[in-house]
Formats: sequence, C-alpha cells, structure tokens
Amino acid sequence: MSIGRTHAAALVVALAVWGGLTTWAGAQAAARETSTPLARGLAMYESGRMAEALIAFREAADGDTASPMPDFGVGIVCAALGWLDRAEDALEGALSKRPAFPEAHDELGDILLRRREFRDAESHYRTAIALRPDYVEAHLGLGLTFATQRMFPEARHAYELALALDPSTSTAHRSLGEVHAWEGDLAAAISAYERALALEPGSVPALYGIGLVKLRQRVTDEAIETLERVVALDPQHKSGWHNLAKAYAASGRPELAESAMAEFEALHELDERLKPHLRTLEADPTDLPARYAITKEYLRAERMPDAIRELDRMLAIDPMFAPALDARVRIHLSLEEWSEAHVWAARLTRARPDNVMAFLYLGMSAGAVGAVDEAVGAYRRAIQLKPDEPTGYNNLAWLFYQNRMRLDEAETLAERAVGIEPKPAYLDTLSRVYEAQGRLAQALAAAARALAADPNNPAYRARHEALHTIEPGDGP
Amino acid sequence: MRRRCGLGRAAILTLVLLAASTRAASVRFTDVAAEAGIDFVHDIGRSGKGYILETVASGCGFLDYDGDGLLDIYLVNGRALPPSAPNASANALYRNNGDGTFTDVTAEAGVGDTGYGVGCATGDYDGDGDTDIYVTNFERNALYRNNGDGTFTDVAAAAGVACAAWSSSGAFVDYNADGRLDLYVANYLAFRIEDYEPCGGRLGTDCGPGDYPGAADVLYRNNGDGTFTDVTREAGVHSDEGKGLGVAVGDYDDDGDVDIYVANDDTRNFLYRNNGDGTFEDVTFWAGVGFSEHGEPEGGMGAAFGDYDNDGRLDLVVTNYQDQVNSLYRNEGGGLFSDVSHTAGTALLTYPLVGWGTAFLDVDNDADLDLFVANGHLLVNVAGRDSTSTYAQPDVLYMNDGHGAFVEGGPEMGLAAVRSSRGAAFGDYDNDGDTDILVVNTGEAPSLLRNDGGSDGDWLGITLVGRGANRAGIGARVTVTTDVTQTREVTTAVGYASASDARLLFGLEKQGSAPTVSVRWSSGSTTVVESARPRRYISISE
Repeated sequence: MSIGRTHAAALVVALAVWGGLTTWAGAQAAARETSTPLARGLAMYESGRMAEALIAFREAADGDTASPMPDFGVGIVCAALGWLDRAEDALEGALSKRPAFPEAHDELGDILLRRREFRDAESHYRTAIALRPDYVEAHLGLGLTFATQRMFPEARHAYELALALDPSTSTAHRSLGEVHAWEGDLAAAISAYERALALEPGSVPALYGIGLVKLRQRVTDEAIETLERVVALDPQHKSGWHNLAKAYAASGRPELAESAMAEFEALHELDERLKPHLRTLEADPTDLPARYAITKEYLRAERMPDAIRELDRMLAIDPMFAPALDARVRIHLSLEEWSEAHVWAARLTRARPDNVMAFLYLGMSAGAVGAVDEAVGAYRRAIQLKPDEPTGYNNLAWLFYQNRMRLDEAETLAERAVGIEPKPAYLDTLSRVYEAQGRLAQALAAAARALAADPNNPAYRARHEALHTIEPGDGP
Repeated sequence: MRRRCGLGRAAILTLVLLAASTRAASVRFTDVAAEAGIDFVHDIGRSGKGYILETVASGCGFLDYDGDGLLDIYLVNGRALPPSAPNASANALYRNNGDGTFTDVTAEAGVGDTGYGVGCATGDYDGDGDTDIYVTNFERNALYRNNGDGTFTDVAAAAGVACAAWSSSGAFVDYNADGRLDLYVANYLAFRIEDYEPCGGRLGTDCGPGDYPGAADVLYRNNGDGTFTDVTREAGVHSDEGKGLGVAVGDYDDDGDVDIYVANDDTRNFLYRNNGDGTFEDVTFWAGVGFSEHGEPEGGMGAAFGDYDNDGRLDLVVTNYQDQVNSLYRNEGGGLFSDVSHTAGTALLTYPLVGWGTAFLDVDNDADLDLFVANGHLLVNVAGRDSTSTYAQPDVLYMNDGHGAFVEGGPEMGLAAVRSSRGAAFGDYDNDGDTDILVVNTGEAPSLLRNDGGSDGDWLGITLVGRGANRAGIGARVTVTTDVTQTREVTTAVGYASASDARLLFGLEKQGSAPTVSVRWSSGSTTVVESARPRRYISISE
C-alpha cells in the first residue's frame, strides 16, 4: 500500500508565525482582513485556486523583495501544481532570505522526497525539526522519507514522535498502519488504521488500509464491508474497486464481482488514456497541450473537479490560455454555476477578443447573474463578430424577452436567427416573442414549426398545446 | 525448505525445523562459469545513447542439443549499437563435456546469431527428435533447426516465424493439442533506432517503456510441414495493449490444455485461458493477475507458473520493476488467484530490486518449490539518481518454509554477488540430481551457479518421451506422490527470455521413499509409474 501524508496548509502556519500569530484560526482571520497580494494569494491557495494564488504571490514578490514569504508562497503553489523545479527554486529563494524558516525546510523536504533525493529530504526535515521541535508535519515528512526507503524502524520512530507531540494526528496513525502492514504485523496495522479512523471518520485511506489488510487476512466479509465504504465515499477509488471485485469473487458473488470489476476497468482505461500525457508532463510540467488532453479525458469521464484542477494548473502556467478558459466557462455553464461562468467568460473575452463564442458565453452568464447591460453588450459584440451566426440574435432576443424589454428589436432578432437557421430552439424563442407581442397566430405557427422539427420535445409539445388554448386577444 | 509439524508438539517441531534448516543450509551455489570454460561476455550495445533496447538483454538456455543426456548452454548476446557499428558479438553455444567443463561450439554449430539478441526458446518443433532453438531479436528472429549432426540451419524466414517486431520471450507450446509444438512470441515495443530521440526530462535522456507504443505478441500455429501460420487474431490473443517481456505457460485451470500468461512492462499483464477449441479468452481481470495488489499495472519482466503450496494448482510469480513488489499469485481454484506477495513474505525484499528471470524450483529437494529471481536495474547510472538503488543487484533465492511462506536464502547460499542480471535458465547440467542455475549478466560474463548439496536428500528426475512430434512431452502434467503430492508441468519456457531443462526434477520428502508418478499427457492420455526408484533420472514414455 502506498505511503503518503496529508499536507496541511503550511503557508497559513508560516504566516501565523511570521505575523506573530500563534493559532491557525488567527492566521486565517488576519489574512482575510488584509487586502495585500500576500493575503490574496493565501486566500486563493486555501480555496484551491492555484492560478490566482500564483499571480498574487508573484505580485507580492515584486512589491517586497526582502520578504521570504512571497517566495514561499510561490514555492508551495508550484509544488501543488507539480512544478518541482520552480518550487525548489522559490523555496531556496525564501531560505536565502531567512535560513531559519522551518516551513520552507519542510516544504523543500517534501519536494526532494518526491524526487527520491532522500538524504537531502531528510536533512531539510531535520533542520525544520531543529528549528521547531514540535513541528509535527516535519516529523511526518521524516517518517515518510524513511518509510519510502523501507527503513521501517526509523519511520516508526518518526511517526511516534509526531504522535507524542499531537496524539490526534490521524495521518501519523495511518502511516504507522502502513508501516505495520509492510512489516506483516496485520493486527497492529488494523489497530493503527482504526485509530486514524476514529480521529478522522470517513478517512478513505484508513478505510482502504483496513480493507486491504482484512483481505490479506482472508476475512473476506469484513473486507467487503470496508471496501464498499471506500468506493461509496470515493467512487473513483480504483484500488478500492479492484480489491472489492476480488473480495466479491472470493466470497462467491460473481455478479457483484463483475460489476465492481467493470468500475475498476473503466477507471483503469481512463488511467491508460492519461498515461502518455502524464509522461509528457513528467518531462515538462508546463506542457499545455498535454494538460489540455488530460482535461478533455476528465471531461469525457465527467470528473469535473479533476478537470477543473487541471484547468487551474494550465491557467497558472498561462493565465490567458484560451482553451483552458473556454473549458472552464463551459464546465461552469454546464453545471449552471453562473457566477463562476461569468468570471471566466469575462477573462475569455479578454484572451480572445475576436472570438464569437467567448462573447456568447459572456452574454449567457452575464444574463444569468442579472448583468443585463453587460449581456446585451456581449451579444451585440458576438453578432458584430459573426453576423451570419444565429445564436447571438436568438440569445439577445431571448434576453429581451425574458426581461420584457425592447420586444420589437427582440422580434427582429429572433426572426433573423430563424432566417439563418430554423432550429427548434430559435423557433421557440420567436414564438415566445410573438406571444409577448400579442401575435398569437404567428406564435402558434412558430411553435408548430418548433414541434415539427423536434416532435419528441415535451417542452415544445406542451407549449404548442398551451398556445392552442389561449383565446385571441389574451396576449399582453 | 519444507517444515513439517504433523503432531504439533514443540519438541518435534523444533527437531523438524532444525532438520529443515540443516538441509537448506547444506545447499550452496557456486559460480563455476569461468572454471567450466565459459568465456562468453555479454555485449549490451554500448551505444552511449541510452537506447531502451540496451536495458533488457539478454536471456539464455539450458538444452541438450546433441542428445547426449547432458545439458548444453546457449547464451544470447546483444551487439554493438547502432547496428551500423562494427560488431564482434554473437550468441554462443557451449557443449557440455560431461566433466564439468564446456566447449564453445558456436561456429561449428552455426548458431552465432549477430542480431541484437534478447532471448531464446527451445523445443523440437519439427518432431525429428532433437531440440531446435528460436532466438528472439530486436527486429528479426532466428529459428535454428537442429540438423541432428551438431549443426543448425536458420529457417526462420522459410518457416514464417522471422517476426519483424522487437521480440523478447518465446514459448513452444502445443496450444491446440495436435501433437505439434506451436510458438508464442512476446513482443515488446515499437521502437526504431532510426527514429530515436532522447526523451529528456530531469532524470536524463533515458526513455522508458511509456515513451513507445507496444508491439503486439504473435501466436504461430505449427502447420506440421516445417512452416507456421500466424493465428494471433483468430486465436484471440491479439492485443495492441501489451508490452510483452516474460511468458509463462501452464494449465492453471487444470482443464487439460495449456494457458498463456504474459508479463507486460508498464501495462497490465495478460492471462489467456485456452478454450480448448483453438481459441483463447483474456481472463486477466477476472483472474486477478493483471495488476498489483492495488490494481495498478506494473513493470512486468518475467513470469513463471509453479505449484509452490502443493495443492495441485499452478500458482504464478511475476517479477517487476523497482518500487513494485514481485507479485506472487496463489491459485485459489475456480479461475481465481489471490495476491499473497505480502503474506508469503516475498514482497518486502523485492521492493527495491528490478526482477527479471525467475522460476519455482526445489533447490534443496525438500518437496516444495522455492523461488529464484535474477535482479538488476536497467539504468546504468541509477545510483547517482536514486540512493536506494544500484545497477548491479543480488539475485535472490526465497526458500519455501512449507507453510505457504518464503524466507530469503540468498547470500549464505552463495548468491552474494551483485551484477545486473537478466534472463535465467534452470536445469541439472551436471546430472547430480539438483537444479543448477544459469544467469546472464549484462555487459559481463554469465553466472553458472552449480548447486552443491541440493541432492543430499532423495530426488527423482523424469524425462518424458511423448508420442508423435511432441517428443519432450511439452505440456504434460506430472504428479509425484509420496506423503505429499507434487505437481509440475513440462515446459522449457520459464521466467524471462530463457529456456530451461525440459526434464523434471522432484525432491522427495523422505529418504528412501518410493514415489508414484502420474503423467497426464497433453494428448489426454495418462501413464502411471508405481514405486519409482529415487536418486536417478527415469524415462517415461507415452
């Protein structure tokens, strides 16, 4: 089983120390009360918006070249984005300004550990601990450095020190469980995982650890029960599905095994499709086409959080990378997250000022959040950019119709859209505008055309039937 | 190393454990390659470019090419790279002189292939009573037909098995039970030296398997007239997904026909179940042998079947890349395997190593199968990049404790040397009743690990003589019963890119026991030999 640790937001801790604050909550509150680039960077980092965090930290660095904190911020964001070289440079920059900076040593240890530069990683963790003996994260990092090298007694010692400092560190319990499992002490592994679970109910890694150990112990029913919880909590847990399938098969439940195996296969196939792109990123984490290809795979698999994470990484590399902005807008539109869509659409129009779709997105999202004037401007720009594209006419007509404004112009626009392409949706818009204008016969005719073009659409059918029941003169 | 504790009383247990330990401790491997006159030096290519081709070579073989009852040695070699470079390297055949020494007969036998060699497979494909050699190369393979007079002729092109892909392991099997040996060839990557570009990246310029598409494996059906037909697709074993390195063959579901397992590098492995009608079904997912315990594809290198727990079912071992454990899959019956690498004790030791050639073999003849793995990293400069690894690594022997677990028995048994090993072949070259091991070491001389002490206990060697063209009885299942029943199958394809002795060697649990031998031939017929006399090779005819 893999050995990992949950990395807490060390930046907040670092800021707390830097600002003379001693508590996590205090640091967060202090950060939010200020509007400095550093505070913005922290807020963005905490909310997972790495692209914006990076911009803010760089801005902070430009404004205060003497402080190590912006460099540290850049380092931690780059590490989160997988740019280890840049992260290392930034953290070393921070340390050159303040050598006695335990968080920077800890972060650098993490990076070196990821690179399997174990001796240097150990050295930085030890420095961090020397600077702050109660630094639990650094003890965990040191433990992981040893565990990765299969130096289990040393790893256990480091984890136990972390627990002595803070017995509620669930990661330390879980890591101890993994060490015990490797050493073959399955009972001790289960106990450690259960302690982690008690501290962090619903911890998927702890549950998976228990499930796997139960499977090794051939306590199949208990393994199944635990692994079912794993995949219920995390349906993308490939290892969970894999072992659940095996457990079902071992317990003589072939249908459930087949079903779990199908889930596993789908996740495996996605991983296989991602593999070449990930390989490209190993060599160059800033390769935008590779990241974009990964994003497309996540979108195809409807894994929106993963897709958004990749888009964020792309935008951290190039904040104006239009395909990423475009995808980001489309995701939020599809999820009807209008405010988010509005923000990203506005950026897309700046990145692609001649792109008709960018302005259509902006029109849609601005209209949805009530920014009608902005929406009107966006649609007019879309029409201006591509006069033979009907969507702009239709959407602007719809916007006017929805807001019961400029209905004459709406009628012209809707007729224009239908004239270019008589799509059912455009006919529906036209029908509604006619109705709003009191021209019921024309409204009914347009609705009939929409239904004829899309006879299985229940909305068009209902509308067509409703128009039949309206007496002439019932219009507005 | 078998431990029996039938009565469960502490005193008896202690005595038995002591006895078992003593037997294992009495076994020692001695590298006698130099004194045996094997002056072969492996050539990895030395291009200076770091071609991925230079990471996987080569394998070797134990075979009795001249039919004198003594195992000879075939060593596959790389060659200078790029192919246009002046080359003095070639494969080599060493004839066993019967006195512990060998003579290089490569030139007179005509088997000194100078392609970039990866591995070899052996079998009497033409049913004329002598062993032929198939050599897997980068780009074009060779089929050396044994002329029966100490010479060979390369007939690969005429036989239709030259295979232009980069081949790794081959296996002669009678998949359709027609009595003729067919040929499965695992192919690795679609890599061309002409198109080579450094892969870059922080770790240097070495390219990995992920940088190239895989090359599909091929199944050749023996037409019985000296030619083969590619039946890969119609037999259902075509896949563009694989990057094949190791092949293991065996009847894992005990339904009387041979199944095929392929260890793939960087992609999932394949288990092809033989449907008995000339076709196979990919049952990897269901069987649970395609991935690591966590469901991840691994860097599979070698593979071998063997019934290590003497339950009559063939278990499976797969050697993997560094930071992956070698997978030990226990056959649970019903077509299912469970990954017991951790509980059987083979996981932790293998984690830092890159495993290649492997086999289940009973080195101390205590009636249970131990496990050998040849190790070696593929990156010459790995130590400079990763403090946990080295290019040269020790080969490892895992001794079976008789209770489903293994303990390391390497260094004190003479396996302390560190080299970057690849293929390994297994056989009793000195006919003293224990299994010796031949290992190819990249860029160095091979190791001929003579087993000393393994035959202190009783043993039984079995040579099968099949009816018809499959003279060596490839695919036959043999059980030897004393107090315990051991199950083996006849194959030469074991581990990685190598060919082993087709004879079977059983350790007998008790001194003086007279075992019953039962043979289930691939034709379906059976032969039973009662009270076989131990400490000798016996011949059993179909």
